[in-house]
Formats: sequence, C-alpha cells, structure tokens
Amino acid sequence: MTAPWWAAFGPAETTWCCGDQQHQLRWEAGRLAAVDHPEAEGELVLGALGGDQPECIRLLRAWGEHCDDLDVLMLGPRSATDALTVDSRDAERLRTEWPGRTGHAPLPGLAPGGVIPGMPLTWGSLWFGTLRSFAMNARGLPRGTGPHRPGPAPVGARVARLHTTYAGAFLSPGPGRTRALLPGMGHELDRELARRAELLELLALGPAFQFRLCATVAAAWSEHDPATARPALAAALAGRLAPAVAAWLHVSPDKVRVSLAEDPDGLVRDGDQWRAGIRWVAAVWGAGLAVIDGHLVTDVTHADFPNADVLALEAPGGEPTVLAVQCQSGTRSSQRPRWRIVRP
Amino acid sequence: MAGGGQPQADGDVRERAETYLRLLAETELRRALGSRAISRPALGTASLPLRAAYQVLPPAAALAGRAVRPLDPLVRRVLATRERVQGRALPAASPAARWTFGAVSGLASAVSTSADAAERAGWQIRRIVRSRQAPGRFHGPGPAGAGLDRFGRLASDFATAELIDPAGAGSLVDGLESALEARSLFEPRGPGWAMRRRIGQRRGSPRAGQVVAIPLGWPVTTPSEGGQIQVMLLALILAPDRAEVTLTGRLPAVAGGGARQLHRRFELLSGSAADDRGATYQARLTGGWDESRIDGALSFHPIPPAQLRWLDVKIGGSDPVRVQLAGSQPITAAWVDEHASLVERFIDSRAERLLSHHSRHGAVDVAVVPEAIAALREVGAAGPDTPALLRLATLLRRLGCDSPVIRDVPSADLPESWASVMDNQDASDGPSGVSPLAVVFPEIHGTRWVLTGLRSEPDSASLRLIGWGWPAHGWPVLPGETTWPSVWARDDAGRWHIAAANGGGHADVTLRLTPPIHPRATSLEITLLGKSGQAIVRVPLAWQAAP
Repeated sequence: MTAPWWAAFGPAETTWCCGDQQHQLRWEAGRLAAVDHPEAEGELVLGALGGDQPECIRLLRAWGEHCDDLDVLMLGPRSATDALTVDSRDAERLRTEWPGRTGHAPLPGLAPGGVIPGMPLTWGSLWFGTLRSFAMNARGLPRGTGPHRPGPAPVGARVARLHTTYAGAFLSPGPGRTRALLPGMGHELDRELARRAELLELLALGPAFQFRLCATVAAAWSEHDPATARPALAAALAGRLAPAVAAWLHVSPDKVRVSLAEDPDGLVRDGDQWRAGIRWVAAVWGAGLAVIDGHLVTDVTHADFPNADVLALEAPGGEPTVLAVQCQSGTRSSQRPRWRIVRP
Repeated sequence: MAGGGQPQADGDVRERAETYLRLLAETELRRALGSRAISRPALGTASLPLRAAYQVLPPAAALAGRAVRPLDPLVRRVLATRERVQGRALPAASPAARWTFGAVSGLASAVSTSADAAERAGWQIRRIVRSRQAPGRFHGPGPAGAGLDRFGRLASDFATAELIDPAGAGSLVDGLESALEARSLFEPRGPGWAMRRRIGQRRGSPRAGQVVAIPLGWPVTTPSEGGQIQVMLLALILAPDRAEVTLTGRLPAVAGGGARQLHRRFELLSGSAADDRGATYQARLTGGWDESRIDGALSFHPIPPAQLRWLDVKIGGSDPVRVQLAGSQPITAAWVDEHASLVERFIDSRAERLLSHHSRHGAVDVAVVPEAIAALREVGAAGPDTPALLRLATLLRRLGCDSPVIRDVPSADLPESWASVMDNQDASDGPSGVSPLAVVFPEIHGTRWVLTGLRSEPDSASLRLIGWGWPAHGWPVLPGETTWPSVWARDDAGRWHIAAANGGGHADVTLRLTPPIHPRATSLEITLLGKSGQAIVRVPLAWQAAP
C-alpha cells in the first residue's frame, strides 16, 4: 500500500469544554487539531515553557504523548460493538480526587508525595483505585514493553516531549521498572496518574477518536522493529483481527489463530493461522474496513476518503480481489463508518 | 543471601510466555464482553419516589411474606386438594358445599400468590431502579471476575517459573482488570488492593544475626472462669521488628461457647514481661483458636532489645517464667545450592501440591492436571522429555488422572520422598506430643523463617513457623509469590512428610505434615526448598505431653 495509513479515515469531530466555552476538536489526516485555536502549535510551545495551557491544547499534547502508548491498545476498543464506558469525569476525578492533586498536572513531578490516600468508597473512587493500581504497575512492561520511541511523531507529540523534557517531569521508565506505593515515590506515581488521566480523557472523546488513537499507535509501531513489544503487538492484533475473522467466518473468535507478521504486508492466511502486521490494525481495522459486505479486507491498496480500493477475501481459501468501497457515514464521534462495496 | 536465582528461561520462551498471557487476556476480555452482566444496584439518578420504594418496599414485602408464612402448610394442603379434585369429575354437590370449597381454595390461592408477589415486588422495584440508574458503571464479578482470576493464576504461575518477571505479570493482570473496568464489566477490588499486596511484598526480612530464637517447652497453666487454660510455651523469638513467644494449648470446655467466650479467652491469654534492666512489656495474643485448642503467639510491645540477659514472661494469672537470653545459640539451618531449572521446580511444586492434597484428603477425587502445565507446554517451556514433567505425569497416573496434556509423556520413577508419602498415606501411628524447636533458617528469596515447634498427632503433625517477607495469608495470590519455599521433612525412621499450609496469620504459619511422624522417630530433618537451593536442618524430637 502506498497511501498513508490514515487515508481511509474520514475526519472526526467532537466538542470539548475549554475554559467556559465549548470548542471543537477535529481529527483529520492523522492529526488532531483544535479548531478554535488557530495558533495551537504556538500555544503548545508556550505551555511547554510554563504558560497556561487551554484544555484543547492540553488534549493535543496528550494525544501526542500517547501516540505510541501500547496501553491504548490494551484499554481501547476491539471492535465496533465493544463500547467503552469511560467519560471525561473519570479523568477529572482521577486528577482531583487524590490527595496531592488539585487540578491538571502538566508538571506532575512538582506535586507533593504522600501516596497512600484515604478515599471515599464510591463506585467512581473504586474505579480509580484500580486505575491507580494499573498505573503503578503499568511500566513493569513499559507502555506495553520495551523502548517506546518507534518513530516520527506528530508535531504535538514532539512539542509534548520538549515540554516534558524541559520540565524534567517525564521519566521514560526502563524495562522492569515497577511502580511503588511508598513515601518518596509519590512523584513517579503522580506522573503515572497524570498520564493515565490523559489516556482516559482521550478515550472519553468517543468511539471515533478511540479507533483513531488505536490506529495511530498501531501505525507508529508498524514502522519499526517491535523488539520487546512483540507480545503486546501480537495481542493487540489478535484482539482485533480474531473478532473480525470470526464474524466473517461465523465461528467463535476463540477458534481463530492469529500471529504477528514481521513484514508490513497485509493479512494472509498461513495454514490454520491468520498472519498480519500491526499495520493492518492501523489501516484496515482502524478505518472500520475489516469486514465489508461479507468480505474480509486484507489490505488497503489505495484510499482517498470516502473512497478506497481494498484487497478482500470473499471466502476462505480464495485469493484476495480488489474492491472499490465507499464510506457512507458522517464525522460525528459517535458514528461508526459504514463502508459499502461500490465496484467489485 | 541464598536463593538469588536469575531467570533461566531463554528469551524466545519468555517472549512466547508473555505472548501467551497477552493472548489469554484478549480471550478473557472477549468472553467477558460476550456475557455482559446485570448492573449492580445503585440509586444514582433514580427519582425520589422510586428510591423511596426501593428502600421501603423490599422490607415490607419481606414482612408480608413472613406474616403469611405460618399459613403456608394449610394453604398447600388446600391447594393440593383443589388440584386433585379439579383433576377429576366432581360428584354432584350442594350449592353451599361448592361455594364453601371455592371460597376456601380461592383464599388459599390468594394467600399463596400474595406472599410470593410481595417478595417479587421488592425485587422488581430494585430491578426498576437499577434500570433507571445512569448507564454504564460496574457490574458484578461474574465471568469477568472468573476470567480475571484464571488469568491472574496463570500470570502468577509464569512468574513463579520466571517466564515473566513479577512486575510484568502484575502489569498484565492490572491491564486486563482496567480493560474490564473501562467497559463496566468488573467491579474494582477497592482502594486497598494494590496497597495491601505491596505491603505484603515489602515486609523485609531481618539479617540472620538479628534473630534470636530460644526453645522453651514450658507448660503454663492459667485460671479462667471456665477452668484451667493449659498452654505450652514453644519458643521465644526476638527480632528487630518482632518479639513473640509462640504457644500451643488447650482451652477448657465452656458451656454456651460463642464469640463472647472466645473474646474472654483472648483477654485471659494476654501477658506481660519484665527484663533484667527493669523495663516492662505488654503482650497480646495473636493467632487462632477454636472451642478447644489454641495455636498462637504472645506478641510483645514494645519490642525488647536483643542484648538483654533475661526476660520474665507472665501469661494471664500464671507465675512468671524466666527466659535466659544471654549466651543463647539458636540452631541454624545450612544452605545447599542446587541450581535446578525454575520451570522444573515449578512443575515439581505443582506435583507436590497434588501429592499433599491427595495425602490429606485421600483418593476421593481423581487428580487433574494443573492448568499451567498445558500452558508451559504450549510456550515450549516444558516438553515430554522434561524430567519434572515425567515425574508429574507418573504421579498423575498413579492418582488416576488420564489427560491429553500428559498422554505423550512417558512414566518415570517417582522420587523417594513422593513414593514414601504415597506408601504411608494411610498411616495413623503418629505419637501424640509437642516438641519445642527453635531453628533460624537462612534467607530464602527474601523470606526468612524460624521454626518454633512441632506438634504430633496420630494422623499428622503440625510445624509452627514464623516468617518475614511472607505474603500475608488470606490475600490474593500475586505473581511470583506462590510456592517458595516448599517444605519437606524426613524422620530418622525413613518416613517422608510433605507440608501444606494449614492456617496462620500474617507472619505465623502452621504447616501440616502428612503422613504422621513415625512412632519410633527420634529426629526430624526439615528441608526448605527454594528456587536455587535448599536449607536443611536436623532437629532432635523431644516429645512432651501436649496440653
């Protein structure tokens, strides 16, 4: 495939509360943009230098921060019917309901320690209790596993890294590092909680953004040697490919065996296994192209949203054929892309 | 430190193991998604009348149900009669008789349905409120919880076999848990969960020289309202973070029993101590007891310093007994390096678990292959020629198991210890008595153990140990902390005994040894088996009458 991974993705839009106004966030061509902040990059830089960051800008920065975060693939949706129940209040509570957190934490390293909190026994707080547990352990297999800089990131991500490097607030943990609940280790926990809150906020943008974020992460990892992240990527692929193949074959997903291919080629059947690179998640699954009108899409050969040419299997054992498909849905975050074959 | 084992599995196997776990997590998530549970009750945004009904109606329904319950037998008889009668052709009856029969049976039917309806109404109103609450949020454990448990167990097993590091395994478990929660499929375990398990992991063990262990073997009798409480003081343990006198004893029978009496006994067995420097200490009982027996320890506060010459210990209303500390030399166990494959040690530990279960419960159940064994084979960590798998397969066959997982694994000779346990599983010739012991074991994988006593009975024996670095009992098993060390004993009459946990608190552990000690045994060799070696000690058996 020669087209970029996002070529079959339509734009997605949602509104977000920025200060006392509702602002629009728009994802298009692989980038998240704050429509109401025409000087977003400048604001990002200002924020990195310690200036105030509007909510929209903070989300742009968070998007960049998580563009290669394998936790996105662990938490994110597996299929169009897999609905997450996260909303923005979850992230807000994670930020504000813990001692030591009085607001957003762009410089979480500066937050006080003291990390064994008493907390009210509400469902929300219990949920965050476990999130907290996840946060503490999340880097045992770091952001999935291994080194986490797979490749060129969007400008937002680069600025975000400038920000965090500048502030000395982001410690990229090495393999095997664990979280702890001990006095004196609260800063690290705060950083992880802030990161986790950001991730929740991004997922709270809605299904369309969840799929696009997953695809962004998969695309980032598709360009580099997965190294120690191979197990996480294999699971991320299997978790998304198996339901698609199962739906196509009308079998249980448990019966579908999936393996991660080293090469960037599309989906192929290899004996009793289905083999694909993680790019399939980015370009095919992420765009909602996995199964169209009874065809299993193995690759996207050309795309210019809302039109795309895909390679697809009509039946097991056959050879993939080229299909012209077209997306027939809108751009609201709650809408799933509905693809139809327009020319077999 | 002994037992500092490094991961032994090669990189490919470790990668396959992690991949296996991650794929299993995906499977469990998918299964949970396929069976969304009923949401848990929470009033949330329900209207005020509905919330009021939610609170009021169920108790009212229960009351109504209870009120008509006494009528139930009568009602049933009437209804049964009506059913019988209506099933046949009725003989002609007078109008008055038909009216009376109809009225009685109708009333009975109404009473019966009203009782059920009242109870159902309470349930229905709760259901309505549930359905009116805000969408999402947490659901009962159900398949999601079961799947998470399955996954956690395997992650723990892999960590024990060092196919994945414990932190990584913990991260995977938390990842699945968070993914389930993000879909409101799983109720979080609460804020203390992560904290507890880390505290459990972090309880450091003291250095060998910091632990003083003195065998006592002193009977003490203290009066109580119900009669004399007889205990045997087993050993005094002094460490930087703990000072305890372990004890075992018998409680007098108390009419009525119950919690109040147990609480009273708890008070009776408090104690105190005074040292040669004039300082005093208070002691409280920790451990467990039932209606007749007590196995625990007196825990002293503050903690006396180890440099004392003596300590007078007083329990309840008894006379104080003096423990000489100066010049005491505890028995210490020797460490022997033994670099076995950790995967094999893990398989052996699972086999020992089966053996122990079989020895304790007899051949009631046919053994099953531990779930982790299939996974180990799948990831290539064990194959049909792996010696530990041969041993396990042989044991399983002797226990009546025929599973595809071991079908291609040939049989081999069982280790002498396993064979001995199986050969003597029906023995009930153990002596009755208590043998006070005080053995300090070397540090084994961050844990330290002190053996404080042995109690023998005809069908089994109990080893009393206190430990450090030991994950607290009753808390969920965590990656990497399941099986180390395992404990074996062999008496000098040649009988082997396998140990299994049989209760205890955070640090005090009672291990049940089966089969029983040989009646002619005069010494016991106790082995704590770690990942990379074993600590062995031989102790003489000096039986005293058990209280």
